[in-house]
Amino acid sequence: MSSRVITRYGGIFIVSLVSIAYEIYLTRHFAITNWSEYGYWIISIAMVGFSLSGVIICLFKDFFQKYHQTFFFAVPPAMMVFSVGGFALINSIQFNPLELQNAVLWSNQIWNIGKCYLALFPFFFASGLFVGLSFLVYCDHIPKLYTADLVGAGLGALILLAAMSFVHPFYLLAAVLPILWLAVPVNPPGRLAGRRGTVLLAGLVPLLACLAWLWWGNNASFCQYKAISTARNVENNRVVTEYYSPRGYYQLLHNYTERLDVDLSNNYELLGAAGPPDALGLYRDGDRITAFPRRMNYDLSYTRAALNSFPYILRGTGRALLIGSQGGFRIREALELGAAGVEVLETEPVVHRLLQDELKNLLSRPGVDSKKVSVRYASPHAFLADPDRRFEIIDVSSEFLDQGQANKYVFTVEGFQELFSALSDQGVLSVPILISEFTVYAVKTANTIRQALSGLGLPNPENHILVYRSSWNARILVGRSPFREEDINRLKEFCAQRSFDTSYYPGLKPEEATIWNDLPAISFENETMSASTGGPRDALMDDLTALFGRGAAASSNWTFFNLTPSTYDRPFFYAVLKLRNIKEILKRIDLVPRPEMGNLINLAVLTQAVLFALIVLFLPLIRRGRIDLKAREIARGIFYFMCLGLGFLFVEIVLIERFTLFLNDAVSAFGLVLSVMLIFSGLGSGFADRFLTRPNRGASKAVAVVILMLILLAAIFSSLLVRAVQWPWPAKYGLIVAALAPLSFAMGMPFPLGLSTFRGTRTGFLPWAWSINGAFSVIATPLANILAVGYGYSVVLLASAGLYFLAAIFFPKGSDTTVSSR
Amino acid sequence: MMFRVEKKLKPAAPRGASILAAVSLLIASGWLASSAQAAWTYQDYTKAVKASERKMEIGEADFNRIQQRKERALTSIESYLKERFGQADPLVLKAFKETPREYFHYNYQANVGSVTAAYEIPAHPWGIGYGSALSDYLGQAYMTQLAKPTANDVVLEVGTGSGFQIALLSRIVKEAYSVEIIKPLGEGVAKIFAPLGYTNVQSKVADGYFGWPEVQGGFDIIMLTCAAQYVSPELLKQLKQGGRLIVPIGQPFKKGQFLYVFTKDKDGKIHSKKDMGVFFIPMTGEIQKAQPKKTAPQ
Repeated sequence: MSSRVITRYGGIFIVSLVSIAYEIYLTRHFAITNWSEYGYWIISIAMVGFSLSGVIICLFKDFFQKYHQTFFFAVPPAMMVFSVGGFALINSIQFNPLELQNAVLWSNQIWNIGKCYLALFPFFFASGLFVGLSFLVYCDHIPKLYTADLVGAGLGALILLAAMSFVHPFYLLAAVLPILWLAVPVNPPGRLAGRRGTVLLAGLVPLLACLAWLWWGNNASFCQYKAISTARNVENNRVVTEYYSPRGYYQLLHNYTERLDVDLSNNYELLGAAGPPDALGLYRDGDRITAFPRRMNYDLSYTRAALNSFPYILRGTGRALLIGSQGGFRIREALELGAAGVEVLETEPVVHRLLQDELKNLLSRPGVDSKKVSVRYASPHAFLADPDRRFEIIDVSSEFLDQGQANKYVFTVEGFQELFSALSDQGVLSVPILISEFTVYAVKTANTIRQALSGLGLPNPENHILVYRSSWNARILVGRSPFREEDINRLKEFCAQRSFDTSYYPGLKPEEATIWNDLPAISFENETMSASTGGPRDALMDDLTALFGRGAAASSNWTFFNLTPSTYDRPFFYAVLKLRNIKEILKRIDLVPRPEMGNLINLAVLTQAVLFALIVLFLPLIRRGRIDLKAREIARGIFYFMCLGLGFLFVEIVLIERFTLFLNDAVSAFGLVLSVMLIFSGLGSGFADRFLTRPNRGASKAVAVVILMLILLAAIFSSLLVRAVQWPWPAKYGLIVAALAPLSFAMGMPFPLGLSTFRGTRTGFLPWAWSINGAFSVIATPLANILAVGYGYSVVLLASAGLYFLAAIFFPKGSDTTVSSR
Repeated sequence: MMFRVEKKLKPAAPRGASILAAVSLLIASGWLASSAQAAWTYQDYTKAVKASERKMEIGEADFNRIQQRKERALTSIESYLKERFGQADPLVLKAFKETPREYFHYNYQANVGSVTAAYEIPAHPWGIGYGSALSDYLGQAYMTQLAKPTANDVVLEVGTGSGFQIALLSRIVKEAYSVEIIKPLGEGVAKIFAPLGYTNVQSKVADGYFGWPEVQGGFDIIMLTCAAQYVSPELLKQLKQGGRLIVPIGQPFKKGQFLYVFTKDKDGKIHSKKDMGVFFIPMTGEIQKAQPKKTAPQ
C-alpha cells in the first residue's frame, strides 16, 4: 500500500472506527451507570459536535485548508485525551435522572446534561473535524474517502461489540485507544514525514497517559439509585460471578436481602404459606432481572399464596409452557402445583446459562426426569412457529417483559395470537401486568388480547378472558374455550381466600363485586379526585367492564391514554402517553412511570436536534460570500443532504427493529445491521467512484435500487422472516447479510456522488453539506421513533423510500456538466 | 436544655379527642410554638452535630435563618395537610415543630451536609447517599398524618434513610423502631438520635424482611420502603390487628409517591388501599357519581 493511500485514507479510517466505537461505548456506559434512555439523550446531542465541525470548516475554510496537515497530525492524539477526559468528566457530574421527574429539581439536571454535552463535545468535534477536513482536502477522492469512513465505522462497531464480551465495561476504552494510536503517524507534519516510527513512539506518551488514568484513576461507578447500589451496600454482600457481554454487565449477588420476587397474598397465616425463598439476585447493568434459588431444597408453600398460581389450580394436570422461569423457581412451582410437564423458554442468554445448574439440581430430584422438564433458549415467536405444539397452560413470568427488548413482541396482537393458537382445547394463557403505578397497562393489554382473539375469528373474545389482581399486579387469563361458570366460581373463591380482586369475568356486575384492594383511577387532567366516601373502587374493573361491555368508556383513560393495541409493526408496550397531551404530562410529570420516560426523552432529543439543525442551516450564511453558489443551488444541496441524512437512518432504525424480532435480541440486531450497513455502504461508495463524471446518473440508479429494495422489504421480507425464524443462527445471520448487502451498497452511493459535485470552485458548500447530513442524522433517530410509535415502522420505511425519491429529484443541479473529470 | 423541653412536651395522655383539641388549641395560641422554638438553640445544634460525628457545622447566622424559614415551612405544612385531609393533625404539626429537620440534612456517602438549605420552599427531596433520599417535608407530613399515629402507638420503619421520618414519628408515639439494610447508611444514622435526646427511638442495620421480632405485642404502624412485590409474612405477623402498614411506591425523587395502606381485619385478612392524596386533592362533599361497591368484610 502506497504512502499516499495510507495518508489519504488511513487517518479517516481509524478516526471513524474509533468514533463509532466511542459512541457505542458511551451508550453502554450510560446504560450501566444510569439508564440507557438518558445516555441516548446525551450522546445524540454530543454527536452534534460531529456536525458542527462541518459548519466551522465552512466558515473558516481557508484557515483549515492551510493548516490541514497540522490538524491531521494533532487530532488523533487529541482525541485520545478528549475521550478519556470526557469519560472522566461525565463520571464526575452528579447527574441524577430521577430528579428530571421533579418539578422543583429538574432544571439542575438539565444543567448537568449540558455539562455532559460539553464533556463529550470535544471528542466528537475533533473527529468530525478530521473527517470533514479530509473531504475538503481530498475532494477529488470523496467516494473512496467515504468508503474508508464507513468501513472504518462498521469495523469499529464490530470491534467494540466483540471487546464487550471480554473487557470489563468500565475499562473498555483501553481496547479502543491503541487503535487511535495507530493514526498518530499516518499524517506526520513536514519535517517528520520520513520518521513515522519515531512519531509512533512519541504517540505512546498520550496513549500511556490515558491508559494509566483508566487503570488508576478510573472514576466510573453505578448510579446510586440503581437497584444494585443498595444490594452492594448490604453487609457481607458478595459477587458470586459476573459476565461481560454486549447485552449487558451481569452480576450474580449473594446477600441476605435477595429473595424470589413474587406477588403473594398477605394472608400468609390463613393460607399456611411461607414467605418467598431466599435467592441469588442476577443484575444486568445494575437492574435486577431475576433470582436463582440459593439452595437445593426450599419451602414451596408460598405457592399457595402466589397470585400466579391460579391457572395451575384451574388446569393443573396438563403440560405447561413457561415463558421465563424466574431463575427456575417457576419450574418447581409448576410441578408442585400439579403440572404434568414443563417446557421453558428463556430469551436471556445469561439467565439461560445459569439455569443449566438449577436444571441439574432439579433433575437430580426423585420423580423428576428430563422428559418432564426441558429448557430452551428461544423466543416464543420462534418456538411456536411449529404448529403442532400444544399446552394446557402458557404462563408468562412477571419478569419476562423487562428482561429483553425483544420480549415486548409477546405483548402484541400477533404475539398473543401465537400463544393462543398453542393452547390446547381447555388451555389457559396467563399474562402478568404491573399495575402499582398505572392500571392502564392492564387495560391496554386486555384490549390487545381482545383484538388478537377477534383477529382469529372468535365472536365473543370477552368470554375468553378473566382478570384478577392484587394491589400491585394483575393477571389476565385467556382461555382457548370460553370460561365456564365453574371456572369463574373457582377464581372468586381463590381470590376471596387471598384478598385478591376479580377485576373482570364474563357476567361481572361491578356493583356486587367485593373489593379487597382499593384502586382509584389516575387522571392527568384533574388535580382533584372524589373524596373516598363511597367505599373502595377498582379502576381496573371500571375500565375493563367498559371495554368488554361497550367497547369503550367515558373514562378519561380512553381519551387521555393511548390504549391502542401493540402490534409487530408498533411493538411499544410502554407508550401509553400521547405526545399531543405533552402539556398536561409535563405538568404532572411525577405521575409518569420511569419506563414511559423514553418517549418523552425522544421528544426532548427531537426538539434539541431540530434547534441544532437550524443553527447548522443558518450559521454558515453569515459568511455567505465565501460560498460561491447561487441560492437555488444551495437550497437544492441542503434538501438533498437533508433527505439522505434522514433516509439512511430511517432505514437503519426500521431494520434494527425488524431483526430484533427475528433474532430475538436487540443488541445482535443493532450490531449486525449497523456494521453490515456501514461496511456495504462503504463498498457502494467506492463503487460510486466510477460515476464521478456522471454523478446524477449514478445517484439516480442507486436511488432506484434503494427504493426497489425498500418496497421489496416492505412487501415480502416480513413473511420471509417468519418462515426463517426457526433457522439455525448462522443461516439467520446469513439471510440478514444477504438482505442488507445490496440495499446498503446502493445506499452508500448517493452521498459521495452528491458531495463530489461540490469540487473545484464549489468547495465552499462541501463541509456545510457534510454537516447538514450529520445534523439531520441526529434528528432522524427520535423522529423515526416518534413516527413508529404513532404510525408504525412500515410508515417509517415508506417515508425513507420517499426521502430517497426526493433526494433523486433534488440532486445538485448541473453537476454532470460542471464537475471536471479526474 | 432541649432535653428537658422534650420531656415536658412529650405527650403522655392516651389518644382522645379532648387531648387533640387541647394540643390544637395550644398550637393555635402559639404557646407550643414559642416553647419548642426556644428549646432548639444554636448551641444545642452544634453539640448534637458533634456528638453525631458528622461534618455539618454552620454559623449562628445561618442557624437563625433556618429557624426563620422553619416558621414559613410549618405554615405551608399546615395548609398542605388541611388541603389534603380537610384538617391538619395537631400531633403531626407539633412533631414537625419539635424535630429539627436541618439536623437530618446530611449526605452519608459524600460526608457533607446541606443544612443551610433546610426548610426549602418549595419543598423537594434531598439525596443522602447510597441511593437513599430525605423525602420532601410535605410528602412526609402527608404520610405521617395518613398513618394516624397516636401517643400509645409503637411504630416500626423499614428503611431508616435519613432518620427524619422515624424521628418525626417518635415525637408522637410511645416507641419507635427503625431498620436499615444499607450498612454504611444505617451505621451513620444510628448515631444521630441519642444526641437529640430521642430516647424512644431505636435503630439497627438488619434485614427489614424480619421486622423487629423482639418487640413484644407488635406494631400499630409499620412504614416500609419496599422494592419487592410482596410484604413479608414476618412484618404482617408483627402488625397489630387494626394496625396500618404503609408502603410508598415509586422512585424517591418525585414530588410524591403512591402510598399503599394495608390493614388487617378481625379475621386476619389484609385489605389494601392505594392512596393518591399526594397527587390529588380530594373534592370533599362531592356526591359520588359511581355506584358504591361492596366493601370486603372488615
